Amino acid sequence: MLENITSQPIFGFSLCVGAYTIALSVKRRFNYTLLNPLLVGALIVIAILSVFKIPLESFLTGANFVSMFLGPATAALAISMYNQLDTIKKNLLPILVGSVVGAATAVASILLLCKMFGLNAEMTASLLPKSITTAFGTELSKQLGGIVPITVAAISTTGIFGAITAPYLIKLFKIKNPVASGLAIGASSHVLGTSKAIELGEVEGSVSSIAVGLCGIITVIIAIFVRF
Amino acid sequence: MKIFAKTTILFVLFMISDIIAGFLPFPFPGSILAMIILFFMLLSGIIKTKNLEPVSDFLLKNMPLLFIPPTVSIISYLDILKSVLWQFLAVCIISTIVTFALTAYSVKLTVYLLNKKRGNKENA
Repeated sequence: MLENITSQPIFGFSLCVGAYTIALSVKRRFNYTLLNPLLVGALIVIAILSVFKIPLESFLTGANFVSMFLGPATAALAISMYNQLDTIKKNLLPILVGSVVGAATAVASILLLCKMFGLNAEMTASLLPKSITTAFGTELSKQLGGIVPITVAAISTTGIFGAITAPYLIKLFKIKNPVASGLAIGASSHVLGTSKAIELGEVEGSVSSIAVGLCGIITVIIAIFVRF
Repeated sequence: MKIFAKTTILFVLFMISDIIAGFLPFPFPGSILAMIILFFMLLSGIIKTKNLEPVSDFLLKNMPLLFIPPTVSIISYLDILKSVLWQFLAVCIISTIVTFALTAYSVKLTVYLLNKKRGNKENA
């Protein structure tokens, strides 16, 4: 009986959208970084699948319709970059330098650490995109032969860590320039970090979101030349 | 009606970019190429933001929803993740701090050099 329902695409789709709706209202009620809608939404789905012993494949038949919108949504990121055009023009050189340094440092440090820890090629490919936003990261992971769910987990871990620690890192490294802290947050912890940067100030927030877009593109370009 | 037209514009733009990306001599994700193409179309005025809003807004605001399926799929890879858990966490944490520091200092240095150059010009 239950299987008749869960094997249909509408089940996975509804579960996905429903869990997200609940996660959004949780976020609205308790505004805390750890309670991000992706994490809470996914946990709700996992809980329901395991309680009712529903196979992951049944969920994905419907949930994959949701993933279909990812391509167009990524393209739409151009609009948020375009809306920041004034800030980009005003700080062109610092933004370009910061984004190139940020993307290069992220890739180099991840490759070095993976080698030090003896991680295999598949795991390295999964971790390489961890500092860029999920829309770019999942595509890059696929392209490099990584495990996409591991990449998503790494991106979320990085983003949550970055968002929580950003104010402390600014103090620790004595960063007083808002452009510098905005770029550092965006380059190191993508969209999740940016949500914290917006709380710190207007310049921090808008520079951080520019860094997310630029670092994403630069990382994808660097990855063309990376072999491991 | 307009919602359907705007959705179609955005989706077709993505599909065309995805096809173009397939012809590039190096691997490049179609969705990111779509973003770059759209950015230049906005810059040149071929497309205006009002041609895509509120569809683009809706998608951007609800990005986390689109990542619930791959996040849930982690349950198939828990064994792999557990076997490298501390390395996984160490890579995430160390590289975030290093990237933060180097990015911030590179911007500080750039701003400092720019101000110095400007100062020299004013003094000359």
